[in-house]
Amino acid sequence: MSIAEIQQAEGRRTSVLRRFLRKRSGVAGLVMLVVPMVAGLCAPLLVRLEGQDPHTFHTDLLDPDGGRPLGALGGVSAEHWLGVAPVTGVDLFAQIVYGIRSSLFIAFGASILSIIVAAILGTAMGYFGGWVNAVAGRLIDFMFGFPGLMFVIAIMAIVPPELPRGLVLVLVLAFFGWTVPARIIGAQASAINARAFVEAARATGAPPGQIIRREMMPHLFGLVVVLFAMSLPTNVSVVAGLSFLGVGLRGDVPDLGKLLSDSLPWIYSGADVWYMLFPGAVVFLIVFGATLAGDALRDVLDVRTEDAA
Amino acid sequence: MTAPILEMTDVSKRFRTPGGFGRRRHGLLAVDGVSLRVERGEALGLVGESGSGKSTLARMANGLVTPTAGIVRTDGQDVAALGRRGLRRLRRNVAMVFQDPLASLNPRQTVRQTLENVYRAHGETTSTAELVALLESVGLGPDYLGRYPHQASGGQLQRVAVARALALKPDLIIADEPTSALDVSVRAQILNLLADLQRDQGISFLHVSHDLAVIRLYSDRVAVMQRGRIVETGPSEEIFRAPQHPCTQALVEATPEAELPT
Repeated sequence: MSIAEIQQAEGRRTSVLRRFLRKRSGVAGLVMLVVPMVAGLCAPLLVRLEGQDPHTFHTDLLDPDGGRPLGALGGVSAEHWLGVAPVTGVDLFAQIVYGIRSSLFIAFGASILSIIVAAILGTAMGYFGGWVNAVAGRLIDFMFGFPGLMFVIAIMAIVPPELPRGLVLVLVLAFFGWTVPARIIGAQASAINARAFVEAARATGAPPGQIIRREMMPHLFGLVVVLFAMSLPTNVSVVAGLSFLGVGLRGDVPDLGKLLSDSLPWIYSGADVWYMLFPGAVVFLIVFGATLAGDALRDVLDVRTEDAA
Repeated sequence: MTAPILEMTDVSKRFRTPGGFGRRRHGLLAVDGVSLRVERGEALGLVGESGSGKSTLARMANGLVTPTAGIVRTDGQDVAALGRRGLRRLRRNVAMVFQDPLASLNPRQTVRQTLENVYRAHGETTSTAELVALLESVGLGPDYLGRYPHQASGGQLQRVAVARALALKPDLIIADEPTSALDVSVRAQILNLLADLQRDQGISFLHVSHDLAVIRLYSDRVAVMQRGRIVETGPSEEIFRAPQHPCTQALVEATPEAELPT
């Protein structure tokens, strides 16, 4: 075998992307996640295309008795693609795409930030062990003992109005979101640190950076992806919950959580069952899609299942 | 005369056992005042029953375990006095082969990545031609470069582990039970490979095993350990012919003649 042939034979390993695309559930999940994200990103464009905006009241489309939208499916029409909201008659499509924008990007930001912190701290806990693990472990215990949600509500209630609330939400959620993933990653990292191949790498004189990057991180990556996928829907619902309590996004900023909580009484009374359908479907798509894509990515990144699949 | 490649003087290691409030920490004395030396080019066999501290002792030679007392001099340097950099330089010279190759090779890395990482650890790069030559020196074909550990057999993997140890041309190789996780049929091949390296490249060996039959054939001298102490040392044949200590006698008696690798 010539050297060129050897290198060619090694290159035959299929790329991670190609193997991911071969998984139908993963691709479906990714689509379910990406379509709402793109819609959120292009919200102003889409709304202009529809010819509406998220704040104009259309009381002429409502039943004067009870404030219900007139027409089928909550007033779905060529002008209002997903109908209008009861009482105010604002366009639901515009509310939803702008709502995706605020909700999803706050959740994304908080999840990314908290998982990055958790990954760095957890890996350090696993690699260095000893007092690093002890100090970080006690800090996590302290954070566990903290009534996090109360604190978030308290902070959000006193945020000065000149600060951007979205950014503050991201930081506050990340501040309380890193503890559980950090503990899980830390436990996994210390299990990997105890494995023979890490000792073998140490015996070759590999510096700590190389051991963490080349030996430990590939084994932690799948876990980090899964934890991110788990944290994303949690943060979406926490953002919604804070909006419901009135300490999330303020004023007339559209928000998926606010739409859901606004629609609750209309579902309970059966007065307008369509109000929740579209915001609920979007939240479902995002949560379900993130889970499917996360699972598929984990399977794909696990080299050992390559032959079995 | 040059200094011995490895010289341990009166070394001990006490592992702390997890204590707790109100409970006294006893600690486990794994190695208890051991002195031994490995001359350059020599293969020293370290035998003992499991739990006798032989693996712990072997890991002190390259600083994977720090002794609680005593002095370890490897390649003439006091291991305890070395900084981080010094320790890395030392590990260039002192390589290690572990018991179970499936565990000691990263399952996510191809053979190529595993070998390249050894050079990377010391800021060096390598060529495919060099890696092919390295694999050839342990009797493996170039097609192994692209394989993952789950795509090779135990014997082949242990050859890869030996190649990893050889990559930086060490003076001393610590082999910690290099054949006990392998099939009987491939043990002799790996042991012959190690013996060839000692003979042809003048590499010194600290060969840890619980199998006196293996040690007899592949070591120049033997040290017998029991409960953290060395109870008997001497040339392999002598120890085997006329064991003095009861522990050695038990080990010799436990060696079935029929299973001797030839």
